[in-house]
Amino acid sequence: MDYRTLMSAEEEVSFSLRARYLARGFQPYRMSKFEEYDLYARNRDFLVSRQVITFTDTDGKLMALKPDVTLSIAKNYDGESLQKLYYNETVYRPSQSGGFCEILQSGVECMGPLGETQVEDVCALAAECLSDISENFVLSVSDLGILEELFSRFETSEEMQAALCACISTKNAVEASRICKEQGLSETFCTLLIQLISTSAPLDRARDMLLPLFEKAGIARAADALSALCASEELAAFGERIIFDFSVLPNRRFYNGVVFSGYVSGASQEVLSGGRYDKLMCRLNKDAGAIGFAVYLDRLPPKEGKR
Amino acid sequence: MSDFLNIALPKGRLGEKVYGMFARAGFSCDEILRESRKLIFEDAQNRVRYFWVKPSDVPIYVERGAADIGVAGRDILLEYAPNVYELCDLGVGRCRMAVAARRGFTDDNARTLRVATKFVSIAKAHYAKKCRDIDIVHLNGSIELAPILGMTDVIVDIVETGTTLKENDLEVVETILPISARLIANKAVYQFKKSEIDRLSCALIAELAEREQA
Repeated sequence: MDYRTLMSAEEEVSFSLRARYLARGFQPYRMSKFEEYDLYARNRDFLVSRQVITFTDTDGKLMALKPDVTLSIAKNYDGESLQKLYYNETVYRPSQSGGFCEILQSGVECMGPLGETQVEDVCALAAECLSDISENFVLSVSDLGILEELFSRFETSEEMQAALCACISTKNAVEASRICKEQGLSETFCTLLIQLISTSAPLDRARDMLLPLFEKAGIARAADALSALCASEELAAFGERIIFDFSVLPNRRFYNGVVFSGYVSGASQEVLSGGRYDKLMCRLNKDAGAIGFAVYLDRLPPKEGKR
Repeated sequence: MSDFLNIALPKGRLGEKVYGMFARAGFSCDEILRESRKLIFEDAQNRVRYFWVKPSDVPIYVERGAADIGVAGRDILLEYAPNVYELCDLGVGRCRMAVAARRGFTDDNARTLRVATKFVSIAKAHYAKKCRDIDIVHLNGSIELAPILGMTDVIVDIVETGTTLKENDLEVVETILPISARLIANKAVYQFKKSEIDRLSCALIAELAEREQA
């Protein structure tokens, strides 16, 4: 009997992802359903939603039903060697239609002394996971280092950065252009920003479009970051399924470097998101880099054989 | 995923005007112009499907993926902040979000300002930037009545020609921001229908540029 026919979409994908994680040397991580609320109160901006289910434990401690997995794993990192962990956990978050719901989430975290190899490994694993969900997938990749260098080079204020980030994440070139003009930002900055917002292309094409603009703007590290992404043979094997898209923009207070979102045909939202979050580790007083991603099993399109 | 482009248009004059722009861009659907109680209109040749939606609901349809793209006013996008791409300004439905009050009103900074509005988020953000303490009265229609009856000091509302304000002895005391209709797209769908959506977006931008030059 083929047991896969009895499985729900979430179950089938969950098993298949587990095989992918193990093949790349990730080890299982199990955790309690509860975590001290204080961890989330101190890192509210990292959470998908600020609303958390809390209760008072038998010892009087204020606890929470986990809304997130990464924070717990990062908190418990022992700070010594490279750790590659995967999980399949239930988290509790507000649903779009109101009220809390249980969400099955699968994912990986890689923590410790990170190099380009580990970054490439996790990005390639993300693409593999998407391919298990559907043949028709896109992994949108960006690098926050490009944005940080751009902001720093052209001396933009924090308020302006926040306004521009809102435009970048929604591909709102009209509003970005208006802000640039209103704030008197240079033509070079404005042109580059608008081009970045409008770019959504396979990595090598994005590099060819953007490198000349990076050189003109004098942001060399941005050029290196994009070139590093393009140099990866593992990512190149996925061809046009991996694209550079500047609108991938998670919270800059926690994320840095490579960030990505995964989409599959038939799903109305991203089904995977992740990136490098050294800054979160720093906030938790961990002297280590970290990169990971989560697959949102509640967002998968309905099962129709191979999606 | 259907290879049709699913488009949510706002019911009313704005939606009809926008449909004309979409049709000129090559996304016509003649069925939509016929008198009918149908809700969904399809053109198999152009691979496009339209539906008329309450204007404030367009972002919901797009965010949830029921529509691939849609047209919504900047006021609705700012108020509800849907998780969508805002791809271009259609240059129609132009008006402004403004603070209005009874003629001759002056703001007494010593006390809490009472504000009537349908746009609670926009009003809160505007006054937060000024560090102004406000008391919001959330109304759903005939907002102009509030200061006339003394219920509030000011209103935050959309102003087009200003005729309604003038006829009720109200005046604009401050413009918050300009408003116009925007093309929005579902972020996930955009990854797979980029070429059609970009083709439409470019055609709309070109038409706007032509209109502004003329």
